[in-house]
Amino acid sequence: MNKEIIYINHQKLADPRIKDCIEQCRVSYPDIDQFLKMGRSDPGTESKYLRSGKNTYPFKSSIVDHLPIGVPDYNPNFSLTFGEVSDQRAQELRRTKWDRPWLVFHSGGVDSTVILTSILKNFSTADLSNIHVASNYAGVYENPKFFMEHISPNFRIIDSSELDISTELLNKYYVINGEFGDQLYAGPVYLVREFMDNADLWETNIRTNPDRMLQALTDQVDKPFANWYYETLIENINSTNIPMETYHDFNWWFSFNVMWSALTLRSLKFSRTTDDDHLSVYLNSHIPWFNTTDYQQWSMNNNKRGEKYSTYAGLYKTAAKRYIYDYDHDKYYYAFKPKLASSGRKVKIKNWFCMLSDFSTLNLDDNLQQIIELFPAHINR
Amino acid sequence: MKNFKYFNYGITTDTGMPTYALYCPILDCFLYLLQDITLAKELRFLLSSKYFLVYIIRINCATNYHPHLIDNEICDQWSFTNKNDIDLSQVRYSIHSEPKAVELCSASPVPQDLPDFIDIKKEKQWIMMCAHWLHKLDLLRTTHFAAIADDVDRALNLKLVDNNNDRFKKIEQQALQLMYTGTDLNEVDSQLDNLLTNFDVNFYNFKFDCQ
Repeated sequence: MNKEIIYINHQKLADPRIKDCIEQCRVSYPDIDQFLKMGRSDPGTESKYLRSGKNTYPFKSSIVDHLPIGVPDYNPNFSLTFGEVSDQRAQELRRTKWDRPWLVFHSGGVDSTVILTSILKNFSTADLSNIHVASNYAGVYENPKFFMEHISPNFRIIDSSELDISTELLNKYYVINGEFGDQLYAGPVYLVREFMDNADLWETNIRTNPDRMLQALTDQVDKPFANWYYETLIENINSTNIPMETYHDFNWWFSFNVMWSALTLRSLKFSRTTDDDHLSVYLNSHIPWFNTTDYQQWSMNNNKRGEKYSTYAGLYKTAAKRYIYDYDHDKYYYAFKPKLASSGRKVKIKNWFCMLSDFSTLNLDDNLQQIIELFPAHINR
Repeated sequence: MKNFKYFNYGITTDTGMPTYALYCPILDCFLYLLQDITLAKELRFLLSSKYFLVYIIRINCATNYHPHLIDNEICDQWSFTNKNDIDLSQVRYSIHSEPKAVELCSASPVPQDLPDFIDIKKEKQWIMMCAHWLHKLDLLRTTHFAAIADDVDRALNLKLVDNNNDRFKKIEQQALQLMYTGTDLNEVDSQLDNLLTNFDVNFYNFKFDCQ
């Protein structure tokens, strides 16, 4: 089977060596310059692919054919609560991924605290000896009571400050983290910041009254970008059968639909490991806790106040916080813990330009000719 | 509020003396006023386990500041206008400057979805209780026998009272842990009282033994 490009590092698209490739895109996608500005509104995510609905972006979303990252078909009759889904997730992983120890990364944030809550609720004391927790002082600072009362007495703790998710680590453990928790809610902080403590604005209709959203995007980048961002995402939304009407829904859908692929491949960005087989080992041994059909169904069916957001910023991710509170009864964490960027350390991003269908990567220094040959087939014509 | 045993007004009539407010951006209101910046920083850390985001704002330089305008009884009704001067990204490692309030203004209404079990008046009492015991700890730290011994040892290096100094550090850690992770005001207050009062007793016993 011929190799094809399935994933491009957005941050490398301005490189002059691929200028001709970008010009080829412009033929079928005149707004390519607006697409290239996406890194300015969301510098933390290095690639943008729509995984569901009409593809209104310039590159093919063929990555969904190679990785299990498609959006499940929307089921409006889905009725499980966030807590029920979380309990089932713990039980399912206990049945299917128990042939080696687990290493659970805990940042002190809501998502990773949900993971440990699920484990503590659903596992026996003997089971806990198979689970190690990777954390650090920042994690303790974010949730000291949970650390002192629930983590420290129950788990062996490994300092995560300098811990690299290496191939060796992935061969030793199932590495579990809170990936996609933000995407189930309305994840990207760059938009959330302005709106998250304003429930009235959050619930404003995005189709009939988009001005504040357009202004926020204009402030971040510029007006042509704002219009392009809005129109392409609305066109994509209109091609789905998932109910989306508000600023919250619009913001959530970008996070849920567009950011998922980049987060699936986060190892391409952060790991210091250069082993050839690292990515395939990573995809096999890394378990993003929230990457399940049921969590996604819950997310598509609960875009509302009291489940995902509230009238103030301290009660963001309401359903997840309620699940934690029912277990630890920490009223302060429930009422006051806001959404903040995770405490990731700064790591030099690897020099890759794209990933191919066999999960190998190419870079512009060593593989320029191959990239130029494969590039046209990746354009969404 | 004024009947609370640790109540203090938190302001001084000297308008030139720095006056600080502990500000909670989640509720957009001041939680406590004080003049001691060292105490303010200690409180900010201890309260971060509850309210997570707590910032120290210097309020006596606000254009409309007046000691008769605001005190600890009503500080939760007040906020400040230049909130954008707060760097929310600097929450974790908490060594940052104290923004100066340009103008004081009314606090935001209590959020509709704030759970019933959060009572801002009781939160303020908790902070006053912590401030009281932090002040007590500071007094012990600077006046207890081991501190004197430290001074003597800097000159004579006798090392006669190492155990006493370690004991103070252990007591201090226990007290801070109670304030950092505790939630029940009466229970924590009682435990702190026992802890620090006992330390005083032991300290005097120690002095007696030495004599």
